[in-house]
Amino acid sequence: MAAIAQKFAQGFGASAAHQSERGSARALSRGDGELASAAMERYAQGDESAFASVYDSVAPRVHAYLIRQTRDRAVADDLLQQTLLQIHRKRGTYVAGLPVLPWAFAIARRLYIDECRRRKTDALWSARDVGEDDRRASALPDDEFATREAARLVEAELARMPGNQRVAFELLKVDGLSHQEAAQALGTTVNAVKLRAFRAYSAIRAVLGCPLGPSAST
Amino acid sequence: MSKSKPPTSDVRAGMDDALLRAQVIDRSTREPSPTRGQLALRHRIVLGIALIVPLLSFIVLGGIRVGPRPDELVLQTALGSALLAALVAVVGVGRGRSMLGRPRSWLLTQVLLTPVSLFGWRVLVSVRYPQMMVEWVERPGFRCFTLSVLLASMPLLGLIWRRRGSDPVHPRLTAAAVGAAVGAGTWVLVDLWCPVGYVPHLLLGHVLPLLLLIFLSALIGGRVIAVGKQRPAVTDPRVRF
Repeated sequence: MAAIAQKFAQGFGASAAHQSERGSARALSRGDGELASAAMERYAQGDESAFASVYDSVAPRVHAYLIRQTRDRAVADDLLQQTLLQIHRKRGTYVAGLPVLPWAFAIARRLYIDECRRRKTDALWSARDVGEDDRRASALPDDEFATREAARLVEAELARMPGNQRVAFELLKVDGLSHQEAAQALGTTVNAVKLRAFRAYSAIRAVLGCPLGPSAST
Repeated sequence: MSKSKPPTSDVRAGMDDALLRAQVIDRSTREPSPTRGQLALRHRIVLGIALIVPLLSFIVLGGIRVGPRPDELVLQTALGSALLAALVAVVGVGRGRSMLGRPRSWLLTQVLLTPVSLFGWRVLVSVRYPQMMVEWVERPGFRCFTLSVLLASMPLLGLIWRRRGSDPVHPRLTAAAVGAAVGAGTWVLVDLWCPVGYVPHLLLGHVLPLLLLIFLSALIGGRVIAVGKQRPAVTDPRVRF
């Protein structure tokens, strides 16, 4: 989450550049989506070698999402593995032309939620998490203090805001999903996703002291 | 591989990307999964059996029983409820243009409106014919209740099996919608079989089993339909599965 916070702490000032970058990210996202759909279609039909293409077009973004959520690469690796294996097991149910990314994100999110529920019951794990977080915090370098401070504020705000707003925000702004794809991944409507992301964006802008600009509504 | 770079500053180390990729692909080759063609064949067989068994049971148990009902009443109730059941099935059984199924609002509307609309249609049509809503003392509704549950069980199991492990978003609601679709189909058959239009009978013998199917399907089917981990992790020994 700190990485997202840092990214947004740095990026909030440069609105025009940000918009342009986001446009190209969206274009890349669409390209990835088409590649994933084509590979998934071949895999559903029985082309075993297509699974590698499915993996390459889906895994990096889902992995990044899982790492952000778990902050533990080993757990993220496991969840990614489970996500891809779920897709593998259900390849026969794939309907040609349907987007794969929202499906993959939704599976990853469900597995992550299950993982969190399991973790909640594991007190030892929690204790170790706290200890390691403290160790990491004390090892931070002194430079880039201002950026880190802003990142800390954003991170705190992201942690404070309701989970549905945070996830909608991350899927749209970090993972580059379209509103439609994010709505599918979250099992809600496009308008609900827009509203959640808008609220998240407004809250972050407020905590950073930035005025609410036109980009906030996109 | 790394089109979107994951954050690394505050993340515990894991395995190398290439190694992870190789491991996932290796596991996929060691664990065969059905292709679309193979799955379609299995689905056809299971759903065929799940539909034929209740239809045969219905015929064995007496089939269409007009009783004292006018033919128009039977025709109107049957056609209306069949149309409603078809609509309900399209929403409840189909997935639409998404791998994640219908939106939550569609499913919720379907689940809530199915019992209301079927019951409303039956009463609306029956009330127009004299003596068609009078009480039958010897038919409180238990036989219709049993028949509904009996006819619905096989298709429900078949459809839940067909969707197993497929819904990561709202499995309980999806299962409830499947239950409503099966219940609506069963309603049509029981409607043809039962001549009683007395409202308490309809509530006990026709509406209650439909609600029960929706509830049980959501409760049990939801677990079957939900996406969940099925294999132990191989990369992180700390994770318990």
